[in-house]
Amino acid sequence: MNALLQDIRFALRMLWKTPGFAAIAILSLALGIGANTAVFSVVNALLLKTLPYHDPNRIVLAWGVSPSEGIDRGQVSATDVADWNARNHVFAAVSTYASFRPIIAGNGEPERIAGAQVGDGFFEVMQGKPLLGRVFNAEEQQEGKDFVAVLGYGLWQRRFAGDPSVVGKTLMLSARPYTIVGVMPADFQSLPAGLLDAPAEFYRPVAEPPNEKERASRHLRAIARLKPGVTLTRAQSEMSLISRQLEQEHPTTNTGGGVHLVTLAGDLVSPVRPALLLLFGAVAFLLLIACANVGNLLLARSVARQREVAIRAALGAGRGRLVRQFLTESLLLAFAGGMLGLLGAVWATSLIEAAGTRFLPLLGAIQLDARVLVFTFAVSTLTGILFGCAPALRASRAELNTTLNDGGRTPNAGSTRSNLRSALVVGEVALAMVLLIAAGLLIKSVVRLQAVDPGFKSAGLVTMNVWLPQAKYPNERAWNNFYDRMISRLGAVPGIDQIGLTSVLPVSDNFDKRTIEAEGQPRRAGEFPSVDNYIITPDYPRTMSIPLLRGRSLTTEDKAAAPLAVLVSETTARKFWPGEDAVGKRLRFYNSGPIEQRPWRTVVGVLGDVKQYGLDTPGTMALYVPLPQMPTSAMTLVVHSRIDPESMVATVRREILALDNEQAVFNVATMEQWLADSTSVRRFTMFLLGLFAGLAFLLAAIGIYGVLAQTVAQRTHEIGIRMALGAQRGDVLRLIVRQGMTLTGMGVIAGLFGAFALTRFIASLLFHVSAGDPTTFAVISLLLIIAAFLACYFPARRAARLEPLVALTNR
Amino acid sequence: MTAPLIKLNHIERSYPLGKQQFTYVLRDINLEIEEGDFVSVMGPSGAGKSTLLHLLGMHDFGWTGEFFLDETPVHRLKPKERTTLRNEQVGFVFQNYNLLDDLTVYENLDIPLSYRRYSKSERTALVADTLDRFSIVGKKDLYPRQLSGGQQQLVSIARAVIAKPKLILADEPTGNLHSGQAEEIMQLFKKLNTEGTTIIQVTHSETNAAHGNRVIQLRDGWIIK
Repeated sequence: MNALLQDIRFALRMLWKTPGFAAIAILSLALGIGANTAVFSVVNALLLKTLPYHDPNRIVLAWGVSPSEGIDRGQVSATDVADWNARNHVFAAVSTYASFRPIIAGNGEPERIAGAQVGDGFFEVMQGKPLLGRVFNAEEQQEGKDFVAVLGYGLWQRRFAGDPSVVGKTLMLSARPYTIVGVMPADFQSLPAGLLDAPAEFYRPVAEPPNEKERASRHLRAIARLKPGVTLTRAQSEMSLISRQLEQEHPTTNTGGGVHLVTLAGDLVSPVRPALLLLFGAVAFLLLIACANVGNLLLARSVARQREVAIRAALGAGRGRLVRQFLTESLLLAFAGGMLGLLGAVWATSLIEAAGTRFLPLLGAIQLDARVLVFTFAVSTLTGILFGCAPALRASRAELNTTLNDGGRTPNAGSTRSNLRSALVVGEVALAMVLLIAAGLLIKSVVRLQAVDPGFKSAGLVTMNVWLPQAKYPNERAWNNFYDRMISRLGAVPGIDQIGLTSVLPVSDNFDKRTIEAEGQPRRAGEFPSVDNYIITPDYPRTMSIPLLRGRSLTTEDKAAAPLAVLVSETTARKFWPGEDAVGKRLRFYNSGPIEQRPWRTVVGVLGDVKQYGLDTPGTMALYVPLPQMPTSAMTLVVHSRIDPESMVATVRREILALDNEQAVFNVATMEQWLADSTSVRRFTMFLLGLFAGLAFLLAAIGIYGVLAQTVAQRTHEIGIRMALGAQRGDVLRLIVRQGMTLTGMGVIAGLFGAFALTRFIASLLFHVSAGDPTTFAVISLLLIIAAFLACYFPARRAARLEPLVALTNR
Repeated sequence: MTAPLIKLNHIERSYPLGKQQFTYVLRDINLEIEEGDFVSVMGPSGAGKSTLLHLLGMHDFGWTGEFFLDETPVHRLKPKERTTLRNEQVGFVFQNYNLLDDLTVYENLDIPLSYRRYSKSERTALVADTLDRFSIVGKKDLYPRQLSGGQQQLVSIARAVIAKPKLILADEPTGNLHSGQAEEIMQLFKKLNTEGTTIIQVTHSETNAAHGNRVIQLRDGWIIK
């Protein structure tokens, strides 16, 4: 123990004596360890932490699937779920849920709040016991009896100041009174954003009893809890069996459909898992590069300390003791780097959390908890051993006689050490190369993605959701009246030149899939041609600059009583009427209702395709129905402004409030923001990977520079001899540059092989760029070679400028 | 009458000690050395012998005065021109041989030729000739560490003469050798001198100096004889 303290004391003294070295080493390690800690914190929060639910591994989501329609994460109908409930033997409970975002009034300012409609058994699935009152009973899942609410703890505190007698009181939601029947405890977590529009602050019943007519109305999501001991595989087989039974029993609605079970945790992280694993791999590479750099610095230092080591050995220090002394120093450096890295990680995670709010399925803050601290400690320790081991072993191998008699000059040991240092440089160039290529591929993907035509022009567009509560706007006339007044009022605002309404906004996560059939094209069994349905006002295509390819657009004459008209997208026209003009053809929505409730609609025009599900998806089949012929109370307002759309937001909001001061406008965003959000995971990954690759690039360049600067220092005498033998400055310059470029060349070749082997793992994150894209590989190689040349040039120039006499007398 | 091979006029070399203070290692050196001379520079440690030798070898440029080598005014040459002149005229032999550790004997002999831009075939011929001339053909693939001190110095001299310089500068060439090996080296110098090469050596040994035809004594930077 005493000896260890002595080692630590001496190590501290040595580091104190060389503050420049200590600072560079600690900073390099802090970069590597900090980046690892930050990314691990995110991985910990998303992939490793147990979800904050009771026995969360047994919670599964049951998504509807339809391979023929390409649906693998579809919604389900309450009627199908009722059948699953009745027939399955694998679930302890199964239920439904959907987002519900009403305006809350009373007990404070009106505001739009996030809630969830939940089916019978939802709280059993989540294993939530109310803090006050009760959860919903089966009777409250009947229409008309469903104006009851269970408050989340947060809303109870915020709007009711934690009133213990809140049960039985009334809550005004979108101008309707709801009776509060219960309050959930603080530790009852909502389902996260991603499954709901936003985490729910309260609950109300779905209130959709099984109804054979509604079996095809798939607008709910299903969630279940596995019985103890039941595996996901077993549950999946049983649900597949039940799906087949339902298919046989209800061929018109269920043919080709099925169920896909996935654990809640698996579902939440699957979209970001590849990106996270990529980033985790990237920071591991970065740490290895930092280790190589610090290892190189230590090796260089060990040359200068050979005499000290030899004296220690001569005084009786065994090899183990010498290794321990050196390792103590490297561990001290690693821990100092770890501490600094941890501080950096606190800052970095808050940035990642802020940047990733819109797409990271977070159920709480990204915290530096005990697991993260243990990780940082373990990484620091391993790092210290990794970069300290080689220098320690090398230094402890000093040849006593030679070293003491030759003032610390041992050419052979120096050469081995130099080989090791060269190998470290080759390694770090290779690692940096892999990271740079991966970052280059992602950057190219994002550039290609941003060049994709979404099918509309986003410039100058502001969008916001308008949702008319049933209590205040009870019928279609009231809705249309509000919309007309809103459009007319906004039309008078200077700067606004186009106004449109749509039920679904492209690239907004929202969608409305409907099955259709075309006249004269009977649907084959198992075939569900589905389209994205947009209910729009006539000016919507013009507002969005969606081109009209054929026929006419919708007009104000397409009223409720007028012949039913639709616009179709180019893909719809091509798929249903290939080689023919779609204008004049007829189609209808397919549902389980009586045939007379499925009127034919005539195609009056063809619009260009729009990327509904993101820029990286193909254009889908789409249908545009005039609002009067399919009225709805929930629309998205799209305004085209000649002036800065951001500055238009407040004006539009004010004009809407002037129409109805209780109308909460929500989801306000420019179309540019929606587009940016649709690529946010890619851009976020690209940014972080680019950052890590940039750091790796910098560290590798510093590594090359460091090795060559040290080489010049060590070879000064040799350079003097060469000059005495006739070497010109150019010869010396070439000698040093050649050494650096040889190492770089080896690193680049190794990196190219590494990148070929590894980039295929990020193929799923790429867009219109192959994992082995030759341009990226070539550009990155060239970039690294140029940077390496510069890193070589400066030490080489110093060597070339040496005076021969100074060089010759240098020892 | 032909001009001397080396002519030094008022050469001084000093190093700064501090503010406005200098220490002089060579003072007002005026010297002429004829082609074909075998000169020994002698004097106590710190007298400036090696400084003078490196000055003559154009390894040092920090001096003042005039230096003519084969009538070329070295003091007016740019660094690159001095290097070219050095490559054409001078070979250098060091006390501690200064062979390049990681190169074989063959490669050590080859390197001065490669710096002088000899063609590959010329280099091969010259190296083979030199190996033969110095009887070290059997050592050509060995590394310096595999040779004795005397053998290393032999290679070092072979390297100095391979490009056929007019002048060989030797800084205590036998300082690290025992007397038997030292005598062999001196005989070799004598032979080279007889063949026409001018030799200037720094030495502490009267015996070695006796092989030359002229001795220059230095003390505290001044030529005293």
